[in-house]
Amino acid sequence: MSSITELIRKEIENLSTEATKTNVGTITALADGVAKVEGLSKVMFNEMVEFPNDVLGIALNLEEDGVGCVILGDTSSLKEGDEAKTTGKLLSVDVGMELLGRVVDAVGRPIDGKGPLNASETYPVERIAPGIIPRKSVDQPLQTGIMAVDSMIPIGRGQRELIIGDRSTGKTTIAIDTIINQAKINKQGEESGDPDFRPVYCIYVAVGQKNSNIARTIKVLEETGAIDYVTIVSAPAADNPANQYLAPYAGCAIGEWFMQNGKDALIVYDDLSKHAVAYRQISLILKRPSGREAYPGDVFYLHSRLLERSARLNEENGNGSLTALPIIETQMGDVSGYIPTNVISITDGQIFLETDLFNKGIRPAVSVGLSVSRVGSAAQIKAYKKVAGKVKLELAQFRELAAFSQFESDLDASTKARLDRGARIVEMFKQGAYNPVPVEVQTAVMWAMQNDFFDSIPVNRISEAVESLKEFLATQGKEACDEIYKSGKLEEETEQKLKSSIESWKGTFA
Amino acid sequence: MLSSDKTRKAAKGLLGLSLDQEGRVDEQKVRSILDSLREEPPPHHRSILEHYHEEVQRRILSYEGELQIVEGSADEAPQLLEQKIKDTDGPGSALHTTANPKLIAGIRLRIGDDVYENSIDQMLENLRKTIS
Repeated sequence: MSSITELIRKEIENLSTEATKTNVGTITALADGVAKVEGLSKVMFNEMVEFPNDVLGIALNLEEDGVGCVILGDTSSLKEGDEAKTTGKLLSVDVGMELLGRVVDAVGRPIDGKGPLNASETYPVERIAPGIIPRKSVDQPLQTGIMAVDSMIPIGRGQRELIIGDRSTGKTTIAIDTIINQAKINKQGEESGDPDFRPVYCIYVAVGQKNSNIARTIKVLEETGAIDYVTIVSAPAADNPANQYLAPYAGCAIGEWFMQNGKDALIVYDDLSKHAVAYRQISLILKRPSGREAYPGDVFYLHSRLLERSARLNEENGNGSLTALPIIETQMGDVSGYIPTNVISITDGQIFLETDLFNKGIRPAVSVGLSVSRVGSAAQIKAYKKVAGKVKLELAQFRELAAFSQFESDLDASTKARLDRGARIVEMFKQGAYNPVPVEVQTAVMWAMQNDFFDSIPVNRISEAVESLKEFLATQGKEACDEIYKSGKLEEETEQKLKSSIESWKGTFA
Repeated sequence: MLSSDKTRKAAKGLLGLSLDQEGRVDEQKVRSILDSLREEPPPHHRSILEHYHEEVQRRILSYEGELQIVEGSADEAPQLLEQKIKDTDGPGSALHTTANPKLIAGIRLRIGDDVYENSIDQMLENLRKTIS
């Protein structure tokens, strides 16, 4: 009892007795989560505004005769005539290692029932992206654990790689697989005690999604043990558009802390189509002029200023990185829509997922022709680059030949060989959800494919053979894989070990 | 029916006609505007008048201060404050004093959009925010 009263007494003693100055205004209109406030003559753009009952808002429209504020909480307690106050603060969120393993809302408040965050630092939600001088080229790989991606569309730390496709084509699964793989690599690296090991921390931003989907994602991350390395920023479909608009920026601020402190981070924006829709809703209510598809004129800037904040910093600036995996949902496979083309032009490549491939059972349904990584093989380890260099071309040739060969009954030997190899590569790339494969195992499997070890196995048994080989490499053939993991290279000696391992596996599989 | 925006716009126009050269509301001009409106009432007369009233009130508050004190306070700060404002802005400047028991003790001064406050009510509010 006495300690509690003492606590409050100290708090009273610490209170300043000086007069405070605030700038106030009056709500003149309130609708759809947006308040029009008269007054607030000294409010800053993007400043937090305080309304009665501890409701916060953000000043988004500064007009001659008033201010348009987006309300971040429950508007039911507000009414016309209520007073609004400036706070002198830009919207900020807690950042730091304390956020790992936590679920927060769009303004950084914990919503997982695990108590306060106890973070010591805050970062403003809106920040200017790093300039040219502190940046450096992307040259370090970020392994997704998905063979089709790591071999053909490699992603580097600091890159922005778009995941694009229709609904239910496995976009979120690719992102979650990547997060799970980072957690696996982090655990392995921490156990190895390697002082040069750089873990990748992850931020998953859910915008406009169903609460059930977010809960499922959290469950998967918990079950796989990845949650300890992840912060989830949740702005579900039931949240107001202001929170959905802010969530990616809040997530980005959390990720930037890792980058600015010399660490590597990965951020997934799931998804930016819904983010654009939320922004359109706010803009229309704020009566901003609308343009194509009723989006406001600055919808490009909405995403460019967000994605430009992902970067790889040079050694003088701590060598940190923030890799972004934005997700965009297309309608009927149309990549030429307004928002998809905007985000495609901002990012450093895209992974395009096709509905047809997905329905044929080719999962992940990565379209080889439309997917690209503009960083290319600079973000691959040497060993993988050696074995996966030609695979994209082989697969592209296969798809082209497969289309023509439908009308051809008599094929020459070389075409038949290409079709045969292509069909095997397609089968090899099939991979179950939430089951990322370590890069050294991927290298070994790819090496086996390139060295014709799968040629004698019927196409319909390739997936089974690949799974069997992966298991074998994780146990009996571990030595060669360990060498690849440690050196990142595929020396002649390692190739010999790999050859003997795979030969002995083939004996058991046959 | 005229929208609220349009009546507000009309009220703003009337406010513009009510100001003197220094941008203060001129009583004579307000009277003549009210007379004209009474003689030839526009559509939505009442709504326009209500908005006009709000606009004029807000305009007056932008250059005339409102001082809130606790009734019966023996504190001489309000008088000193009023004198200081008159010294700074000239004898024409007005400071309306009203009683606000919610303050408990201290003062709250509003000039235009700016609010200067040093009251027990505000300190308790700050304490509540710190604890919650």
